[in-house]
Amino acid sequence: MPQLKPNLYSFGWMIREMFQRIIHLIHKSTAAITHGDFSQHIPLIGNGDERDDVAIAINAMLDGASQQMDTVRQTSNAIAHDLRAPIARARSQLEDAALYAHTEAELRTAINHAVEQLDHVTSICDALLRIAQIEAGGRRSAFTRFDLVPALQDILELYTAVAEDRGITIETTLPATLPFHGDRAMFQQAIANVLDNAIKFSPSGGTITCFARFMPPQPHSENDGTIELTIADHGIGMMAEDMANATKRFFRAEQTRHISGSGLGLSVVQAIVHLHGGQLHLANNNPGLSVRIDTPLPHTKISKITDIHR
Amino acid sequence: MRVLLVEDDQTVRNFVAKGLAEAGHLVEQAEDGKNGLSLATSEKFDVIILDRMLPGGVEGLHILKTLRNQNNTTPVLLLSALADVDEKVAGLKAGGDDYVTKPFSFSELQARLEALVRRNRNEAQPQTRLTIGDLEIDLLSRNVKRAGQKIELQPREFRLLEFLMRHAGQVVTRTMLLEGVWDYHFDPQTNVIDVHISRLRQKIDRPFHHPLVHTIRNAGYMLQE
Repeated sequence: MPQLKPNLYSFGWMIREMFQRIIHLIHKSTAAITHGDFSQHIPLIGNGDERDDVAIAINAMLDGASQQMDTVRQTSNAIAHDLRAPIARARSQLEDAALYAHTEAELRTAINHAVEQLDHVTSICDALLRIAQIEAGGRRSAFTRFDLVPALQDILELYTAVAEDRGITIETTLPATLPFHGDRAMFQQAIANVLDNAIKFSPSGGTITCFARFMPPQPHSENDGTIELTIADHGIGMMAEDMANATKRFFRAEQTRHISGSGLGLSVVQAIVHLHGGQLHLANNNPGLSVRIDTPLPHTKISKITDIHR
Repeated sequence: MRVLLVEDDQTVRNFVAKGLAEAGHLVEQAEDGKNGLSLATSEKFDVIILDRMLPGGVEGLHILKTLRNQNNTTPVLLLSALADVDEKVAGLKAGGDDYVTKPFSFSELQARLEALVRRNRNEAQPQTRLTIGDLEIDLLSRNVKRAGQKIELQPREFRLLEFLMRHAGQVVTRTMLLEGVWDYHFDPQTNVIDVHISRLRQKIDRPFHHPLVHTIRNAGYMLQE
């Protein structure tokens, strides 16, 4: 069939031209991105063919990258700000003492205050490194199966004394066992941070409830069920609009600015919960704050979880 | 005790050396890995403070591994800015006995050093009874007595007291207690340790004439007659 030959050629030429145009557009967009302009999108032709599919996919990727860049920028600004504040205080205390202190006692007081501020800087750096390390996900290799109940009781024991000392009661409702999959020490740190907050924001005479249960898997679900852990206080609570921001690094609600803390506690919790494939939910406890952590149990052939809970 | 300090940062080295000398210890200093290695392998020390990242081509972990390969069991405290959990694990796996991250407070470093040296000396003879003044605890029956009077302690309170007694006469920091008694390796924001110490005091000190648990300002606690 010799008459097909020119058609094949022209078809090949069309494909070639199409790719050239796509590549040209991608090249134009990537050149703009190299110079930091994420707003440069690949224009759609509008006829719904493969060229548009490619453009849509690339544009979506650009939007995702751009959002992440924004988060990084905001976080960097927040880090710079939150590190500057204690450094500024330490610096002025030292400079003030160098210029105006008359006695050794005054000098020593200023130096001790400055050291405290620098320790605060260190604790911020530690928390940030910890979050970065958790988010990198490398620790997942250390995940094991363990019973969450004794792990919870351990950490509750540590904090119950602190709560009682402030006239706060912790009421606990736990089943006999709770199968769990994760990093025990890390998950305990998440719980410790939540309890720490609950105690910090509870009034004397208040009650904190800690409740955990196993939720059986939904039909066709991709896990062996979920562990639901709720820690709720009757403290000052959180405004609805603050809840959305509460896990952001350095976020501190307006009414808590006077209470000590790094503003990183819930960010650490969030990172740990995400590493475990779980979800962190904040809700109003009327009054107070209710923190719920849902963690899925991954499928396992040898697990007898359902037997335990029957 | 005789301490070898291998640290390249001059400010940190002077600060640590001065503090240890003031506490009555003999301090040998090395400012790079090569000198550190030759001192560590040729002389006898009670404890070695070892920085990890050192100039001169010989880094801290290399010195540590060389020592351990030569069956040298001198306690080694790693002092490093590498603060990652994985880095700590690497340091302890290489044969380190403790790990302090920079920045650090001198009281924390000193308390940990003394605990290390003490542990090294005590390991030879396992003890079943510990006493300090008129306070005695039996590690097998878990009985606690002060001035002949039996004291009831919760299991955790017993472990806290046992830890303090094993380090009697030494400063123990809040971090050491959190790690040693609770096995937690994070920094709680609230004063959890202080509260537990105060409860222990209620039971072992309050009913008696003189206190045994002392607060050491800016450092921690000490059990002492």
